[in-house]
Amino acid sequence: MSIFTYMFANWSQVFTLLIEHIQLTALAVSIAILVGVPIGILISYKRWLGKPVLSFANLVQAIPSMALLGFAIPFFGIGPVPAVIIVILYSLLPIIKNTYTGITQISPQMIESATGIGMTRWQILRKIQFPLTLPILMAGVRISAVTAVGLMTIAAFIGAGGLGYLVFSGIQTVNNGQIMAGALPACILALVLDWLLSLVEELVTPISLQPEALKNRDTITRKRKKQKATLAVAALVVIGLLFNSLIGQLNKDKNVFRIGSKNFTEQMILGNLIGDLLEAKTDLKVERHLNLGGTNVCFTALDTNEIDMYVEYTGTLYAEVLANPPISDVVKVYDTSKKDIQEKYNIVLLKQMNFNNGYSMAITKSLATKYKISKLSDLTNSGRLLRAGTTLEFLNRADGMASLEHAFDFKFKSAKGLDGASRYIALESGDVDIIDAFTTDGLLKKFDLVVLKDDKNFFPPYFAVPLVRSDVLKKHPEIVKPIEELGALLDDETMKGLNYQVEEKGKSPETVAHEFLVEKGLIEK
Amino acid sequence: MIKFANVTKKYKNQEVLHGIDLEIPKGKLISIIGSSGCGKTTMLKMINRLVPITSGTISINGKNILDTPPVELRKQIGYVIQQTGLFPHMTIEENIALPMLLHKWSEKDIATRMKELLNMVSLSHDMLQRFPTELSGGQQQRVGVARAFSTNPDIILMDEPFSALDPITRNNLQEELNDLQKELLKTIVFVTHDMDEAIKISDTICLMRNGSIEQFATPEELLKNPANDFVETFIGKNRIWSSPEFIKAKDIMIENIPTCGPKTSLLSCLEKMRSEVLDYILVRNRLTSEFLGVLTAGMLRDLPNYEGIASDIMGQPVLTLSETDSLVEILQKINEHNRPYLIVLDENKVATGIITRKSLIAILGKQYLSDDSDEGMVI
Repeated sequence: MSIFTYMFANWSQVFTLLIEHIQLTALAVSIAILVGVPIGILISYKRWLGKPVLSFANLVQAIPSMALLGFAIPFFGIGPVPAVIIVILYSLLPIIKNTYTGITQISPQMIESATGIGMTRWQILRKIQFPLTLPILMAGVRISAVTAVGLMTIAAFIGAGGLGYLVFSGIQTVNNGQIMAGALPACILALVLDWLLSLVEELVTPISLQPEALKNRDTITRKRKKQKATLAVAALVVIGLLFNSLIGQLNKDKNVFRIGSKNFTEQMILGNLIGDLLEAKTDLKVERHLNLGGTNVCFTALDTNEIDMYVEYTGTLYAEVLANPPISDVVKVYDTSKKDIQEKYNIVLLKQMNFNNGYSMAITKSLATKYKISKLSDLTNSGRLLRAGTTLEFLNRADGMASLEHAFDFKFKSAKGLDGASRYIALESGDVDIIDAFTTDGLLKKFDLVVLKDDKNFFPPYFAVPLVRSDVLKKHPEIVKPIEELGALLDDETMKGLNYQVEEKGKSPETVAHEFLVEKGLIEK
Repeated sequence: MIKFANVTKKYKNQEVLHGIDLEIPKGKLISIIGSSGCGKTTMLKMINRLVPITSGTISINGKNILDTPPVELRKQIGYVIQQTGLFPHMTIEENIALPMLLHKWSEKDIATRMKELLNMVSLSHDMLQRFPTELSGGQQQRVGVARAFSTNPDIILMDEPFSALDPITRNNLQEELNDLQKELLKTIVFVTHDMDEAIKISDTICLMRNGSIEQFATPEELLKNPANDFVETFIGKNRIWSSPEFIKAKDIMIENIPTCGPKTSLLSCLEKMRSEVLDYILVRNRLTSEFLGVLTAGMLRDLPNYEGIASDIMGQPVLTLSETDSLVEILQKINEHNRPYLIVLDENKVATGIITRKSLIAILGKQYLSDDSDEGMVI
């Protein structure tokens, strides 16, 4: 699907996300200015502070944003707060640095002259240093703001929304139109912001410091008027947006039920299924925090009361969250998990759903024929010839790659971590030979892959299971029945079919969920 | 009056000013001069507390400057520095108005004062909306001066304000500053490294070396009686010739001229001239030493005999010089009246010396001929 078809079909979503993106960026950059400028001024007075402060700001900039995001979740949870905080941290350096540079480059004689005529320190700062620093400071703000627009796309990773949502979803589902629908507005936003800030930069540069401007005083005065008008309009829009979101925050409904989901198609469909269903069957106002990231992000979010429920998989809870050695016993996995999670986290496992989205290994048809591989035990012989491309999660978890190689006594020729749908693309382009796949993955169907049969019952069960915090369940017991009804309807084939509709047909998870519920008569059209 | 009492300044362990004692009288323009690093700027900046004093006291009109908070003190003192003193992002008007705004003057008062100031430093009204970078160096410095005078402070500190200007502009500004000072009677402390400038504008010069005052004297005194070799070298040996107004009749006249009384016989007068190898002799009252007239060889030559006394034939020149007449005036008189010589009288009409055309040539020639004669102010 091309970007234009996507944009045309989903323009209101793109627009909402764009607004969200502007709000988040504006908020982050504003705070970065409010924090960064005073710090810059401070270190220009206390020079000995300059080095440690700038080194720290430099260091923060050197940390990969994803890692920083990981660190932030335990402290700030998920949603806009950690996203904004991280973008602030990244935006600080250019602002601090330029403020510092701007102030320190003013000649000491000028400051002495100001002191000599009896100005106080504050007056010198306000009337001499600040105006002379402003152009350089604004250049720093400009760099920060443009970077922030790009960086803010990571916000979607922890459910803060913004245009990154489209980019991440698009990558998940190999939907280039969707990726572009997120990337292009972000790009344009960055360019527009850069242009607006260049106007500010020009405006705050004293006429006397622009040799060109001095020659044409009248022209520049007229031009400045126009620039001021443009900026005033832009400022009003941004302030309006910020105000709007603030009101939204204040009006937070007590009866809100927050559903989270991980960052792949099935999870987003599940999130929408449950969301739509609860909206129809209960009085709850559902808030969707879909596409949040991996197990860690979602589980932490649930535990820290950022969301009220999400759907997890039994095997993941058992082996990863509770850190048990992986086993294949379906009943034991569920029972142990339910008991331990309840005790440790006060989180309730509802009845598990009817489908198992376990791991499997998938390979192209041609390779399957070439190496004569059809089941997992075949890897013992041919595994060493294959280059694996798996999710980072699979690569690292106990019941993942290491366990697989151990159980079948082989070693892949190479193994690299790839995220989401990019594995399929790598497989098709021949960059890797074998990938891990979820058994309900619609892309398996799309790319027509061979799923290796689990003939040794190697992979643990991964039945979908809704997780709800106990306190929420106590408050809203009415949610259990509809969710369990839904769970009964979803078997492996049904789920794969729903995934396929999103991943192959290019429908949105929202649409697919809605259509399914209508078709089954669970909600009305 | 600004008074330095045993003021020292140390940077780390290095003493850059050693126990300075100095009194700067009210309403005078004092130059502090010396080569770079001598402590002259440090001294200046101590007055408005831009540089803290290590020990000793500076007082203004008897009040220790440390008793006034620095910002208040500085607001009472005008301050002009070299070029960079103007703020580039402010218009000329804003620059000049700044001290008045610091004093919280009303807009109306500022506008009135602005007009006066523009007149005072000869700047046109349409300059006000321009920026410093649009002005020439000389104009910028006029703005700096206007700003320093704006709130009418009694004391104005100037730190080499004219040193970056071209000679013609500098000259003009120096003259204007001189006029301003004479008119407004501000106490101005002026730091410079330019001796010509100091001589030209100062009432008193404070000559510094390595953190000590070498000589504190009027320009004339400094030129004529350098306190030591350093001062002499610093001001330059023949410096006085570029300030001929400081060369006085008293300095260049020939003293110890032969004299006689009015009743002395002409013969003995002639004898005296011969023995001294001079062709004139002064006639004076033996008792009061009052100058009476001159007897020249020419007068005697035409006489049939040398009977008679000096008062019979002595000439009585109406044109005489006073001891304080400057070299310029002497040359003017000699030329205008075409006199071969002029007698110098002191305030009591006592003839103390004589200046002849011949002696003038010898004096003026000295600056071009290397002096193997005596040292010092040797005129």
